[in-house]
Amino acid sequence: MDPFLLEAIVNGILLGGVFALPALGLNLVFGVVDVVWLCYAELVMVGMYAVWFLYTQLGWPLPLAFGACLPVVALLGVLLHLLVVRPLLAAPPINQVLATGGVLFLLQGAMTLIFRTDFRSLGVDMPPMEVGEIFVSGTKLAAFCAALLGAAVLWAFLKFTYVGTAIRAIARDREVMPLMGVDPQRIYLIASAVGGALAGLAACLLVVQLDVHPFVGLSFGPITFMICVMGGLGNMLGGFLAAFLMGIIVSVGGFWGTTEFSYVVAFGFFIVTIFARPRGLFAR
Amino acid sequence: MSAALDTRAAPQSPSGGTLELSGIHAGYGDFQALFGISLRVEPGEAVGVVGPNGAGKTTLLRVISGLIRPTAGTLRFGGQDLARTPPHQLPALGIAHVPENRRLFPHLTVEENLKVGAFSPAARAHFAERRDRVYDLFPKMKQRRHQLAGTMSGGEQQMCAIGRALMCAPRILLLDEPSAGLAPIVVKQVFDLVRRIREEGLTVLIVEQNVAQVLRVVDRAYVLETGRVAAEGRSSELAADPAIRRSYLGGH
Amino acid sequence: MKAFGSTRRGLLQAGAALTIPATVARAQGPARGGDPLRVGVMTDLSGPFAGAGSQPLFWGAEVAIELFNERGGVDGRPVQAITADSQSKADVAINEMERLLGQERLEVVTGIYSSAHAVPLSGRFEQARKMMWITSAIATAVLKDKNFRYVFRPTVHSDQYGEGSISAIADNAQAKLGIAPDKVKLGVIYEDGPYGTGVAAAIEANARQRNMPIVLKEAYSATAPDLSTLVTKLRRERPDIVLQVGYNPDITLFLRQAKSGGLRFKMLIGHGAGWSQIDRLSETFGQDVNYMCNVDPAATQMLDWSKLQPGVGDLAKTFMDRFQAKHKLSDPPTHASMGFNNTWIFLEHVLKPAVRKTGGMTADALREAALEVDVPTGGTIQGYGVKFAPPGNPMAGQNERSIAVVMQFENGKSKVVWPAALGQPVVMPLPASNAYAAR
Repeated sequence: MDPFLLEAIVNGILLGGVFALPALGLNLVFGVVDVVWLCYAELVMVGMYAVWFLYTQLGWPLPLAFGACLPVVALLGVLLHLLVVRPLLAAPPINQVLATGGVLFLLQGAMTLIFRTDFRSLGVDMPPMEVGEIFVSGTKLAAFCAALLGAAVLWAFLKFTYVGTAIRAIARDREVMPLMGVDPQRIYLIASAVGGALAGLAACLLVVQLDVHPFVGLSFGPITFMICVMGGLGNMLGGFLAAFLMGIIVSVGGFWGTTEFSYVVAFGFFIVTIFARPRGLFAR
Repeated sequence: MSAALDTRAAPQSPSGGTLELSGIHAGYGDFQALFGISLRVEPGEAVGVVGPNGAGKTTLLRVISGLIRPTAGTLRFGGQDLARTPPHQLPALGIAHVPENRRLFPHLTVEENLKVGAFSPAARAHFAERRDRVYDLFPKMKQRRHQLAGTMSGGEQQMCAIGRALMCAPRILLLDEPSAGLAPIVVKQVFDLVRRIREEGLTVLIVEQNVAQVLRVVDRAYVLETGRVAAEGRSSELAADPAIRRSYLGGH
Repeated sequence: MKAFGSTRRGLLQAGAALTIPATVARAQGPARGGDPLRVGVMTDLSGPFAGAGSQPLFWGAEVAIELFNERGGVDGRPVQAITADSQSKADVAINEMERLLGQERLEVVTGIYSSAHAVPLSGRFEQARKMMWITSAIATAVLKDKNFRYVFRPTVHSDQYGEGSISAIADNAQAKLGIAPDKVKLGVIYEDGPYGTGVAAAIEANARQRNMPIVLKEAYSATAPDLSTLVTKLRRERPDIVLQVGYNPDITLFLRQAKSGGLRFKMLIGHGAGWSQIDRLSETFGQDVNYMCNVDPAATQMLDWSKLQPGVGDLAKTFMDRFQAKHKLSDPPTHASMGFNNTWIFLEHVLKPAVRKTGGMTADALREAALEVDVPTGGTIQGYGVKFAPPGNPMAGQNERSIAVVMQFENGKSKVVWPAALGQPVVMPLPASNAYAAR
């Protein structure tokens, strides 16, 4: 096999790992609360700033800064739910989308005010690994492993805990939940916190790869939404698999065609998916 | 004042509680479904609510489990006024509701469905013990514990739904149309189970269209028509009543 | 499915509803009496462009207007800047233009950082018969064959960027790399907007003229989350020299992924925008960007001020002192000089004569004054002169005396290395100490 093609495939899989976490978080929140957090990529952006600030400005050790990022963004998710989503739960979906879209601009604006539009970098880099003829970025590989680990922890949480089981149940039938002794509002809050924590984890993995600036969400936000829709909104496993599929499409499409073309292919594939399998590629 | 405090201080008398509805009016938005329903279920009793489609039977159960708030009347269980209790706290007070159409979580396994039923903190502590009891009651559930609930037959799903409701160790079990959509042979199995459950001392309030079957299981029954209690009495009396026979028992 | 349908529709509507332009404060210079002369300044103060040079572009313009007013404005009439933030979005730029021309009733708008905005805006200015004075956007296509009468660009255009980098390579290939110029393999990567596309086309045209092989020419989106496939392909094609045209996040992403992807080359030449921001790049990459090159109009501090026209050196010094006092940058980016210089050219050489001649400042009076400007080489703080191509010329509105130089980063400072007459010898190939140096 052409080693360069192999490198493109490996890079696609690693890229998929980066997309997978935000796709999981977005799907989790949508599945439970039935509201799309349009500002999800901006929560990640705030998390990236948190890591950057703690590490470069306050001199915290990097693992500690990563550790702090998760609860910070989880708290942000909780606040988003309490202040914006909860008051609009009964409102038409368009209002919810507009409101979380408003938060998107609010967060961009707030970060611009605080940190200005400068591009911030952690300046952390891990040495590349040369395997045979292909190069693999150590940073990306570490991020990929952390993403898989995060996904595994999430899976275990959803599979084995009472709250996790209730989260999976509520995604299918919210009205019956009180009869089980479950307060849906509490589950919404927990799902929002977990969704926020996933954004925080994604922030840790992205901040070592991309510069932070108030508009960095543009780089991965739209593709995350595409992935979620492709995998089936609310379908966690579907979103997870679609992330890798999208990573490989973008990477290999770019290898055979051009980098620009790869996004044309990805968008084309997305549109075909919407028409051919409107409930998502992996809908049962 | 002191009476109110008393009822709150002892919400869970171990002997079970009396369910007491008095003058309940309720509905959905502008549509009123219940007009002054009064009903009483004593501890250990099995009571049926029968009546035609649209009589308000399901609404009645939804009022009891707090999914719909009555617009007038009082609702008490074990002496405690439930008017302001959020519905998700009712399982912990001992009220379990098996809803119409069972409403299992089809994408979860049988055991996971039971786990959701044991969500309240008090129930979690007894999960293994109660699960095993449910499996004793429904051995088939034990065989299928890792099967997705949605893939089971209607009768099995009904048993799973009842098992799920039992996970919170209720004092009263509300059953909404347990026979709906089931083959006659399965209906019989379901009612046999209901009989066994009540023989273990659990209070049961059962809403049914299958009047013949339900009257064989319950001690007393209420006949609901267009949101009002049209008749009530011991099941043997009702079964013998010519008007009831004509309307609900097909005159046989 | 219902929720899904509403959500998709919601995304679109949210997108449309939320592009409401931000309210923008008005910056006002110290007034001295007389009606203020109101001049629009539109730059990107938020969004990706802000960090890729648009912010210093605005700061430079700000210093020019303050200084101009301190020196009396036009016979005591101060210039009042009406500012607008186009937020790095073309639709916002268009809305803001409508506001500046409609509500504010301005006759002239200066600034315009991005070619992606300049292209749609220029036609509208022309139609409205109001003056557009471009201080930054460089795509040749903005003016080429448009025969605009109200659009002027004192700064360089993108064809000159391609000419700069290719000439610098051709002039040095044999001596520095030991490769004949027509054997130097080039890799050209560029952002896919009008700016990147325009400069890349100029690079390709200049390379073809000199028979230099381009082994890969590829566009990418400036907001792409990943460029590793591009790195893989470059590694496969093994260019000697990589030429990049990009904004900021894409440049740092490329450099980072190029490093971890094992890409090595003999030289990397950037072409303005993100590559102009040496302070930023040094902060992120430290020594890794040492000896890389960039094509741009010269920042004034790179020039020998004693060789400029009389008085221009003093103006340059005043500007530098003020700018550095205000913004604390060791090596202010080229865009700071561009913002100041091109705004100053407008104030001093266009606005002043027009107001003196006609007593007012209609777009037509400004336009006539602009066509009469004749500043010799060395007459501005960036070293170039000013003479606009007249209507009928294929590049009507373009300053024919603008110059783009090639500069090399050396320990956080930039020095001119091309044209040879203006600068010092280039360091090429990248020294072995550089992380990207071909071994």
